Amino acid sequence: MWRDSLKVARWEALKMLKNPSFIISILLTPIIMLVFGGIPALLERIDAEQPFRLFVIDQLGVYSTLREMSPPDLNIELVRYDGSVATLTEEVRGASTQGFVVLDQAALAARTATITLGGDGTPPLHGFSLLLSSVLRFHALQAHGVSNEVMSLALAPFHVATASLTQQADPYARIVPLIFGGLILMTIFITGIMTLQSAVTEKKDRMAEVLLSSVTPDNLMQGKILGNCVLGIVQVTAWLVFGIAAAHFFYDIPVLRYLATPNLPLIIFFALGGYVLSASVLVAMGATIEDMATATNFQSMVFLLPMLPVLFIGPVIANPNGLVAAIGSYFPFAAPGVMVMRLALSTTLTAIDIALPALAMLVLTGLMMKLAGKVFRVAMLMYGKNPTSAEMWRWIRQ
Amino acid sequence: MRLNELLSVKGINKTFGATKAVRDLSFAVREGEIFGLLGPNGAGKSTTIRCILGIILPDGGEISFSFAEKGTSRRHIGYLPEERGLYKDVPVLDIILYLASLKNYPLDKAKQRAEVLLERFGLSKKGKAKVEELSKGMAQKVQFIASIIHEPKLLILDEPFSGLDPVSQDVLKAEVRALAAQGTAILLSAHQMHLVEELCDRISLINQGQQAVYGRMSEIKARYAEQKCIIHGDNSRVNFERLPGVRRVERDTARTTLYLQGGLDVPDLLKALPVGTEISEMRIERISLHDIFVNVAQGGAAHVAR
Repeated sequence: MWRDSLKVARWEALKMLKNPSFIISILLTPIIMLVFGGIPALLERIDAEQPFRLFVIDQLGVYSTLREMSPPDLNIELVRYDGSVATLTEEVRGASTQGFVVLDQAALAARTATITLGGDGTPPLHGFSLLLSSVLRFHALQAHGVSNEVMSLALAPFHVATASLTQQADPYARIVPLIFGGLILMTIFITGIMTLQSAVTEKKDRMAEVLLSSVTPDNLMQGKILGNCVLGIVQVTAWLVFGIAAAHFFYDIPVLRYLATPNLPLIIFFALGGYVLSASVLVAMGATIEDMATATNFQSMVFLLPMLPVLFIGPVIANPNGLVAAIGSYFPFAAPGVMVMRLALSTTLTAIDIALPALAMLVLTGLMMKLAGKVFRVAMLMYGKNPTSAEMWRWIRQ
Repeated sequence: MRLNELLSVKGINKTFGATKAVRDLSFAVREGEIFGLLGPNGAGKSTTIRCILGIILPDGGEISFSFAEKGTSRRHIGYLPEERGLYKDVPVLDIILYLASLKNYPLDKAKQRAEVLLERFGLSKKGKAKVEELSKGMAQKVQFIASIIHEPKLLILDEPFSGLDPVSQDVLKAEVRALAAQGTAILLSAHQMHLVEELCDRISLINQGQQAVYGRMSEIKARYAEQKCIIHGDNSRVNFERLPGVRRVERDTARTTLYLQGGLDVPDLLKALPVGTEISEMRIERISLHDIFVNVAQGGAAHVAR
């Protein structure tokens, strides 16, 4: 009876929503992510504010050009040095914010200019390296009598851009739904673990038998999955509100407009399917665990099943219509995540590309719920030990 | 099913792998009666109870309820399991109301009843307290309240007295009696035989999944109308085994128990005691339910059946 499942779901959701630690975790997670994302950049900036002093031993006569062309945001202080390399080496040794470069005929002949660093660390010299490379090439061409006009024309960089016949030029149109998909996958995992913990706690608190005297094991399991799904939706909504506000305020990105794509309902459908699939396995696995600390290797491996889509992230982003993406769309447990990514990234998916994985996911989810139900109803009443994988297999076959 | 039989168990069997947990077990529980389901650990009591509750299905036999259509019996059964526990981080009242809602009991009535019952068990100020803040005895009372909050027609109590102090035991006994007086059928499983003797109208004593003894308490006591003679004193060298009417002798350092055949004339026994018997204290008692239980537990059904 679905009514019993709904009662259990309501209880599961309200129990957590009344729990201050859950509310705090919802609010704190984006703040923590912001802090962990922002603090390293902030710390890097503190050090970066001190300019890197680069001594130049210039035997080619390019120092003035370098100084003129060096923009202030490179944060490099150029200093001409006329002494010996040996003296300069001793002078800068041990200083992390100092270094030198020797520009002479040997460097020109070898087509290599070496910036020697005084101390440890890797100062941001990439911009300056590009500038120096241009100046040296300019100098080499000048030595062969090429006119300044021709040199400017020859050395002016060419930008190679990509344009797609199918994708929108605006990168946010792909990135925002992809981030949304990632958020959903993360929520699937977190919420799946919550259903597992719920079953473990109920068993540990010895509540299982009382509940099973009132509702069927299937109702109890479905209620847990449904209740935690509501919590997952609350979590995603809270994070989205936070994310949308932050993106709008800091970067002026209209997240909602990018999310409102025709594929959004399909993304949500696959996300929910993925959640039910993961949660049904995890809740059954939770029922087999006496205590989290006593989980066996087999049980620990099952916990990782919802993480399978991670294996496909790279290949699917590289080619959402490729062979790996196509296989991943049918790969058990990875399929929902892969489809979420494909729907966010690909604009050429056909109805068949979507319908067949959807059908496969529904069949697998139904089968998993049935098998998980068999394990759940026996395991919830088992006290004192964790069942072996052989025992679980026997319950499944019964 | 007879009219006042609320629960009828007929010939149920349950096997787990190679273990026959319950074998051809039959009994009935009537309206307003306290029925004892007894047996040593592993006898099959919990399996039988789980079958009645529909948590597991018996392999064979039939379980029927006069008060409910098939599939709706759970609503009318209250259950206090042996493995006790409650959500630790949830307020007492919330748990009671949740369990009432699972039984389809109206929320407003559940609230009223919860207040009355918490008051009766001395927990009126604990409704908003979390279970982890309660003592073990208090938590046990809360679980008992949760098992009766929906006014069940059949109440199954598995070891309800274990872990309770004598005062709390008396409160619980009184409540169980009151519920029975109101017509609730009570299936009681307990190891405290004196409490079972005190409370139960009828019992079923099972061992190794089989019924060893079944019937009214008074009938069972009459059927096993044996007596025992307990002699305190050092009688380690005295031969009581050959005395007429003595079925069995149990000895420890300073006490000897003679199990007597039914109908034995006690003065004749006293006259027949061997010369040199040391008697610092002597009692003649009818064998108790405890003795019957121990006999069954040690020797199985056949040992008791005469």
